Amino acid sequence: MADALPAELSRLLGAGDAPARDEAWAGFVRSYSPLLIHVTRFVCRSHDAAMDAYAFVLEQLRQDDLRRLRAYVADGRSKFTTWLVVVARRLCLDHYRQRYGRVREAPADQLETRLARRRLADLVADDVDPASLSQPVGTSPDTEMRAGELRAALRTVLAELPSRDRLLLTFRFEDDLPVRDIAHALGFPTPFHVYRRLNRLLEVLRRSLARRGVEDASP
Amino acid sequence: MPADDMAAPHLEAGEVAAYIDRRLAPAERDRVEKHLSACHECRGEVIEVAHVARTLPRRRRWHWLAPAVAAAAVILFIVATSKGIQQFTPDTGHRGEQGTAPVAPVPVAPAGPVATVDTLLWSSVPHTNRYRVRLFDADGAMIWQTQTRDTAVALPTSVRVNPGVPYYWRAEARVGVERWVESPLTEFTLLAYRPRQ
Repeated sequence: MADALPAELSRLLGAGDAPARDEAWAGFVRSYSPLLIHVTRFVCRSHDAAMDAYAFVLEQLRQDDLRRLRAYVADGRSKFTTWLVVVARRLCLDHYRQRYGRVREAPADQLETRLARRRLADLVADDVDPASLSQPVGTSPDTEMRAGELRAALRTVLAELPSRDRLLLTFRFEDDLPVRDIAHALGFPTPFHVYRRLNRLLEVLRRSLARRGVEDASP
Repeated sequence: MPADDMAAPHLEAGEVAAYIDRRLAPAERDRVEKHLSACHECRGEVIEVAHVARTLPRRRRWHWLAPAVAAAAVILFIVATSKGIQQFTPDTGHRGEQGTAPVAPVPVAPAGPVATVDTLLWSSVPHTNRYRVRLFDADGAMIWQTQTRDTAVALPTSVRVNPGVPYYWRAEARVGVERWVESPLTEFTLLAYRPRQ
């Protein structure tokens, strides 16, 4: 199913002479500025930085005879607005790196959360001390061996899961993302559906580990 | 969990957008999800874009209400004018123009994205000696108005125009006693803030 190009984009890409192009560009900017500013504010946080990034994004979109906008293909695979969010966000990050020479720092609350995250191993093998999995120094050889076996078994059963389930577990237990964000990214109708799927997956993992002899995971 | 696969190329913008919009074929979706499981950067992108996409500002009702309100105003004006003609024909001093609707002023600048907003400029209307200009913010609240005989007016420095947010303005021309014809609402957005002199 092919989607038509949005009217503003179609007019812009089809504009023949310079005045027509200027007029079409003004129309495009008028229509999509709220979206672009929303993206720059999300990426840059501070107002001034966001407005700088907004100007940069506009400049880049117009550069090289609209090269970036011409890359959008209305083949029905995505909405133009979603595509534009992706492109604008990438441009914002480029701008940020050019300007500050480093990637954004995670907000303090995210760092706090990350520090407190629970590991998947905690849930599928309740009795395993997480410290023994991440910092085996100072533990006995038996404990190390047992933790290693658990990690290897976990890797194996994870590899058997469908990619979507594996991604769900990665979002939740590696990236420690809020369930609501995961629901939106993966297309679950509600966060409740994510919780339900996670519980089911953890149960599957426990059973799979049990079949491999990892019933009692205590070292 | 798999470690980040730095050797794998990142997803293209179209793939990320299509994944979020749920328009990938199953095989392609599977490939993208495998990549996402291994690539922290692309996962972050998917999460952020999904978040931004679902919180995008909706187009304001103003955009489609404005023409409707303008059309209603024109109809009311025509009805009022025709009644006025029937009732007060002997008193009017412009008999030659009674059957034609007055020309509305046309906003010239600012319109669309602009670098500066110092002056509001519009086209002249015949037989008019007074214009009224109104400036509205993005929520439709009037933040400034003035009257003038000219077809341009300087925006006072006390009116702060913030960059990146839309503003609307219109010019109205007086064509009779308490009778005004108004231009369509015109939108402009200041690209970057520059203090006005």
